[in-house]
Amino acid sequence: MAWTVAQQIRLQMERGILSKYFPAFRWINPTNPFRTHIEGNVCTNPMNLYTLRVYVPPDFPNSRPDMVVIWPHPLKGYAGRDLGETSASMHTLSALDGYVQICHYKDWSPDLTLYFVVLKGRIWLEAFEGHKSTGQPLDHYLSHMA
Amino acid sequence: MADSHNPRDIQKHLVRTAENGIAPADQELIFDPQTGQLVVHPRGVPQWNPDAVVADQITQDGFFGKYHPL
Repeated sequence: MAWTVAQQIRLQMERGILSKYFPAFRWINPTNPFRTHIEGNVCTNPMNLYTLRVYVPPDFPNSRPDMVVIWPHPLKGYAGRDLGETSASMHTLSALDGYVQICHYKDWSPDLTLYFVVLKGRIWLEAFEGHKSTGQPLDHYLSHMA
Repeated sequence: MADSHNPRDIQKHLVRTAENGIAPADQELIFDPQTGQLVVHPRGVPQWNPDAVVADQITQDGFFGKYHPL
């Protein structure tokens, strides 16, 4: 199975946007709809390096892409807290492929882009820095979607 | 108030936004794609970088964390 023409056009647009705002991100298995994902490094304001991965679903843009933190691995929170489980207060879902999964959008819309997802991941990581230093859960820094 | 990259200022901005459901009236959160850094910027002051993105709407919208699929 291959990406449809409409999907290829959309993915090309996504590439252009991501290359502008997150140029460190690369596309992995871009021609296989069942294995395509993007991943790249982001550096938080305290200058800590993380790697985000976003899985592009085969029916993209109609389904929500999943996003995980693949490095550091394992990702530990304040006082070594394990983050691999579903937690509303930490805005995480159950681990995916063994990695901490960030809970980003509740209602997905085809209008949303991979860029928005990665930007949410960037902001989540900055809030995570606050959690690491204070012990406050992520929802102290990031509210829940209505 | 000047621009701040200080992590504590960024975190304070996030907390204020989360507490009130809306970003503070006096400042906005900017993502600078050139540096990858978040910046707290005085609202109403022209930005230095036309490619910089105001990220307040994303933080105001919140994160999906209250309801989980079974």
